[in-house]
Amino acid sequence: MNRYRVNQIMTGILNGVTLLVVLFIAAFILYLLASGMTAINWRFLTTSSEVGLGIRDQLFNSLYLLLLTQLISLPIALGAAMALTLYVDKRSKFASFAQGLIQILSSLPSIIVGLFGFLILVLKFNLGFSIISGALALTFFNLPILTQSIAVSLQGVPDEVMQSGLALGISKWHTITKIILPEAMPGIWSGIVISAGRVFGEAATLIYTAGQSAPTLDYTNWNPLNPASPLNIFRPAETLAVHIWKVNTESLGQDAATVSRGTIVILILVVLLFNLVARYFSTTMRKKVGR
Amino acid sequence: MDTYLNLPEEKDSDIVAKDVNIYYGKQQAIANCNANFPRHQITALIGPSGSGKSTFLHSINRMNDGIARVEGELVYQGQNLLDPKVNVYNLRHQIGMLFQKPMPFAKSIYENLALPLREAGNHNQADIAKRIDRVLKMVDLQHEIGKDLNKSALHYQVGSNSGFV
Repeated sequence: MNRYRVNQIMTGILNGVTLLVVLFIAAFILYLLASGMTAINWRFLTTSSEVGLGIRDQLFNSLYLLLLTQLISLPIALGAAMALTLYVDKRSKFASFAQGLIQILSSLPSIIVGLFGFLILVLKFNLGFSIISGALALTFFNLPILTQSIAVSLQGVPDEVMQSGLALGISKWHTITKIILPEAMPGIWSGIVISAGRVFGEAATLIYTAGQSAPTLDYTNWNPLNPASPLNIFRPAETLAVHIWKVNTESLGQDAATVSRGTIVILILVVLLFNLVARYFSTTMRKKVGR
Repeated sequence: MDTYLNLPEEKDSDIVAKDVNIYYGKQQAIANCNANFPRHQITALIGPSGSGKSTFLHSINRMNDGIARVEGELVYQGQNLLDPKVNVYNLRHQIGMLFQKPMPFAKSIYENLALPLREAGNHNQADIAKRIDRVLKMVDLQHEIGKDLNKSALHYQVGSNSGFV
């Protein structure tokens, strides 16, 4: 067989395999969307699970937990990524040790993070099943993902940029904040949004930390200390992903399947939206700023 | 910051290297270098690849700090530039450095030129604009890029990129 033929065959196989992957994913998502679309209506989105079998509170809880988690993780992850890429000598023992730990943490099964959060946050620190327990446990889950993606986007800025900045008499801190960070910003945003997608769909970590109950919330009560207030961080909070798990394990009768499918659709749509936003940042925005 | 020495105002001065030795760890890159760089002249350092030309140049505006160990003296305006007390930012404002590979920042052309001036303590917008205009005329690029100053420097390839740095 001549090499042109081999090349043709291999190209064909590789294209075929890629097509297969795309078809599997497309079929999977379309099936979930099609089977759940009928469950979605205005009532489903705007009533609580106790009163109208809706997911209003779960949706709010998911977004609120995500916001809190990112607020806690972002400064830590940004600092760690900056230290590892711009300050610490990359060949030093400390750098490889820290990087190893981050990798281990990122491959930690989320159920372990959940049980860790349960033992330490819920029981030891006596925070109970609460949003703050959930957000802190999710931070452990989120930190390695976020740190790695921010580090990658900072590494995307050539080392010579730092050299050029320093050579012009600009301090290291100003070179970082005024030149390197703005250039890396699209990548950082894309990393934040991708990790947001992971956090949003996380269930195992939250089952043991934020709890599985969704007390009906009073959206007119904005006092963060009131147990019925959506803003209260010490109340238990069931998210969309946990709701799917709970509905499927503790069946509520014939409505359970419908509620579960509808929730799946909302969860998938939000995660898809996050991914589209991430793509926007990593392509359109990068074209505007990047090299 | 007061403990750092600012260099005196510019006056007639050479850059003189006296017995400069530079080490990367245990490895010696430059041995007993003595050289004189007269003012208002162009001096070229010539040598084979890896002979330490860049290492030596980096030492003059202290870009080697924390990377290489530099011994000896580099005297400029009667001041040893290797003195740890020398204010390196001030030094780098006076002794600039261009790299082999031009590296414009991911900003507009105007910002690329204005940022170093602002970082050097010049916050007078009118003065910055005047200086940028003067520099562009000096290098005869005002017609070519004068209208495009707000475009990204990264997408603009002029004959010599170094015009921006």
